[in-house]
Order: sequence, then C-alpha cells, then structure tokens
Amino acid sequence: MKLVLKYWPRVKDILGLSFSLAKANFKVRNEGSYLGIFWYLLEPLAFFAILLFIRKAIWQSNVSDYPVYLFIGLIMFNFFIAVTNFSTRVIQNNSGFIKSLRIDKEAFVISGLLQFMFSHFFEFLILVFVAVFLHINVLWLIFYFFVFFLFCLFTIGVSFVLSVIGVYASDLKNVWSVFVRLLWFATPIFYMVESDSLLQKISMWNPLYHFINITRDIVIFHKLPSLNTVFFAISSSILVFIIGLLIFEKNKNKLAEKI
Amino acid sequence: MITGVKKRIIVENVSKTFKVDFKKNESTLFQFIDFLFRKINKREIEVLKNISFEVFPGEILGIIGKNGSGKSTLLRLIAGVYQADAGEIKTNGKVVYLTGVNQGSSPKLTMRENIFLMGSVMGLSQKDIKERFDEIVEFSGLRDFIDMRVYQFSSGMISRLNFSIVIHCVKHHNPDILLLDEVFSAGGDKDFNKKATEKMEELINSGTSVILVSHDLILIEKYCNRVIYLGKGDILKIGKPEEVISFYKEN
Repeated sequence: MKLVLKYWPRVKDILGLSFSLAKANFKVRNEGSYLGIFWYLLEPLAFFAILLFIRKAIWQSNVSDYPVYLFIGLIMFNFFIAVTNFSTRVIQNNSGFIKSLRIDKEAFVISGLLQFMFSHFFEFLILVFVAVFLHINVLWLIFYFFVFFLFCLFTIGVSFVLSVIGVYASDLKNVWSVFVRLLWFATPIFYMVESDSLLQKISMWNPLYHFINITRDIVIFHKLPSLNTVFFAISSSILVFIIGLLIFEKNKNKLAEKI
Repeated sequence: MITGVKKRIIVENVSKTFKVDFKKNESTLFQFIDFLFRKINKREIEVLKNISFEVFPGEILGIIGKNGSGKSTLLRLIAGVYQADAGEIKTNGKVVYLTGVNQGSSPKLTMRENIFLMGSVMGLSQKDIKERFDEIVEFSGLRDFIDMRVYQFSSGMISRLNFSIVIHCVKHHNPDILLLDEVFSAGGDKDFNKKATEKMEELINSGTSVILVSHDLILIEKYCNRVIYLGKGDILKIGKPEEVISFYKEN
C-alpha cells in the first residue's frame, strides 16, 4: 500500500501526459480525412464483410453465431497489432521531445495504447450491434471489460519491450509486422481449431488465443472460463506487463543518446 | 569547506564518451560482408573529460565554446537527459532544460491544440494549462489565429507561439535551476523580441540559478556572473566574463 501511495503521483502524471499525447495523435491521424473518425467504424466493418464473404463462398460454417465469433477475434487481434506496431517506432518518432526534455518516456508507449483503445471502443460498439442483431444476450459483454483490462496489460508489456528494441534496430518494424501477420494466421481468428490437432497444441502456447477464447466463451456461449484459463490469463498478463516494464525502466535512460 | 551556502549544481569529474559508428564508402556487397562478420566501424569520441564545477543559488553561469566542444552534452547531462559515464552530478531543486524553442509544435494541429499538447509535454496538467491559456495567447499576440492550423502560420508566428508556450510553462514550474541552450532569441519581429527579451530577463533575474549556453558573446557578457570556456571536452578557462571572453577571442 505504501508503495502504491509513493508512486501514485508519478503514475498519475504519466497517465495524464499519455492521455494528452494520445489525444493529439488521434487528432493528427484524422486530420485531412473526409470521413474522419467514421473510418474507425468502416475499416473493421469492411474487413469483417470480406472475411464473412470468403467464409460463405469457400466453406460452410458449422458454428452458430459465426459472425460474432469472427468479429471478436478480429477486433482483439487488431488492437494488439495496432498498439505493438505503433510502439516499434514510438521512441524515434518522438526524438524531438525525448532529446530536449526530461520527460517520462513511458508516456509515449502508453499513449499508443490509449489512442487505439479509443478506436477499439468503436469496434466494440459494432460488436454490440452485431450481437443484438443475432439475438445474443448483450449483458454478457460486460465481462469483456475484465478480459480487456488483462489484455491491455499484456499488450503494453509487449509494447514496452518492442519500443526499447526498436531504438537499437530499426529493422524491428519490418520483422514485427511480418511476425504479427504470421501470428494472425496462426491464431484461430477466422477458423476453428479441432481438439488434439497440432494447431491446438500450438495455440495453447499463444496467449492471444486465450484472451480471444475467453471472450468468445463468455459472449457467445455464456460460459465462464475455467479456473485454469483464468489463472493463465491473469498470470501471463501480469507477468508480461512486469517484465516489459522492468526492461523499459532499465533501459530508458540510455535511449536519449541512441536516437 | 564553505557549508553556509547550499550549492545548486555540483558537477564532479564528469566524463562522457559517445560511440559513433561510421559508414565507410563502399559497395553494398562489402557492407553486407562487414555486417556478417560484425565488422562495424565504431569510434569513440570523448565529448567531456573530467569536468568539475559548481553553480551557486542565483548565479548565472555562461558556457561558451566552438561547435562540438560539448556544451549541449554538458547541459543534457545536468538535465538528466543523458547519463554520465563517470563522475557525479548533483542538483538541488527543480531543473528545467530548454533547447530549440522553435521546434515542438505539430503543424497539423490548431494553435489551441498545440498549446495543450506542448503544455502537457512540458509537465503541466490540463487544469494548469487552462489557467495559463489566456496569458499565453495574449503574449503571443495571435488571438485571431487561435483555431487556425499551425502549418498555415508564417515562420515568425510559429516562433512567437512556441516562445510564448515555453516561457509560460517554465514560469509555471518556477524552477530553481534553469538550463538554457541557445534559446534567448525569440525569432519574432522587433517588438516581439523586445517583449521576449524582457520576459527572459525577468525569468533569469528572479533568483534562479541559470546556465546559459550561447555563441552570442555580448549576451553572455551582459548577463553572466561567471563564464566557462569549453574546448574539446575540457574546461580551458573559468572566471570573470571579460577575462574568459577575451581569452576566447584570442584563440
């Protein structure tokens, strides 16, 4: 408790700064675009429609509520991609500030998370509509906030590590974007895994699969995840967050002279 | 040892080395081979060698020297942007470091949004910025353009805006130590520069300790109590402004 009280003012400052940065970034991103923030609705919807069409055209679905199944996987993975890709270059992109001010560098990474949280909110709204349309009980979506909180911890932990490595090797941006594409196909987003298949065994080691799966179980099947899964989700997200933060804290003072 | 006066900044035997990698002028194939065999050309440049000095409360210390003599690195070390390789730097009180006032604004945002962005980057909360907002706009003299995007500003207007934001943010922090790296000129027109200089004077004469890095010798002589002449990472001379400046001119 003492520890929390000691660090709280600093955490509050960092969050405040992150929020301002996210707001400014958000405005810059929508600048000069005719549809502006409508793209946050249109983009996922368009991709969603394409995947649904492919699904209809190529193979028959055997899951009821496939659209919801697909959409949950899609938006959660999108969020992860957006935040982590952003973080690979975030320190360089703000070198002006970092080199000329003594500033909490954590804020730049966290601002990415907040910025995409905002667009994720739009995607969540679509999810609500899709669920209502398919007569799924929307109340269960409330549990999503718990899952999403853990998911954010996980994502920000990964982002912290990426932002540090990105300073030393700018190749990381390319490597990472290839890697997430691979991960996109390796994660059951638009398809299902059969139990005891090789893919399922791989997926067991994929934290993203667990976060997505828990959400699907809750929203579609109204099934609370087993204690094992909950334990795995909580421990992996907290562990990744702490490791990421420690790596960042250890390296952050050296970053200014490398950019 | 004089213990009565609390020193604001103590710099003790500070050294700083940068590893600089060079690109040899060779073909892509050779570059690739070099990379595979880890033959990366690194050279070490010692930017600061065993620097020691102190700054007392209310003192204005000038630092002069040629380009690449380590002036900016020294300020960054004191500000905590860089870390020293050896030696120790102690500061007492709140430090504010200013450099390149003409950078920092985002061209795609409006002036109002820029004030909020730069204010929060400089460590002010949203509430603080709201309180200072009118003052900043008034000082810049750009009230009519408050909702215009900055990329449509003239360069003089951008300078005025940046200077107004920065100076008011610094004033808000009420720093004990002020590190200024070539920020004295505001870059506006004659009237604005006069106003800006007055504001700067007000700031540095308000009892804070100031380290002033500048190539403008007239400025240094006018404001500083003491001057350091830095050359190739060494303190070549430290003392009264007139003496150090004439020594600098001779070399």
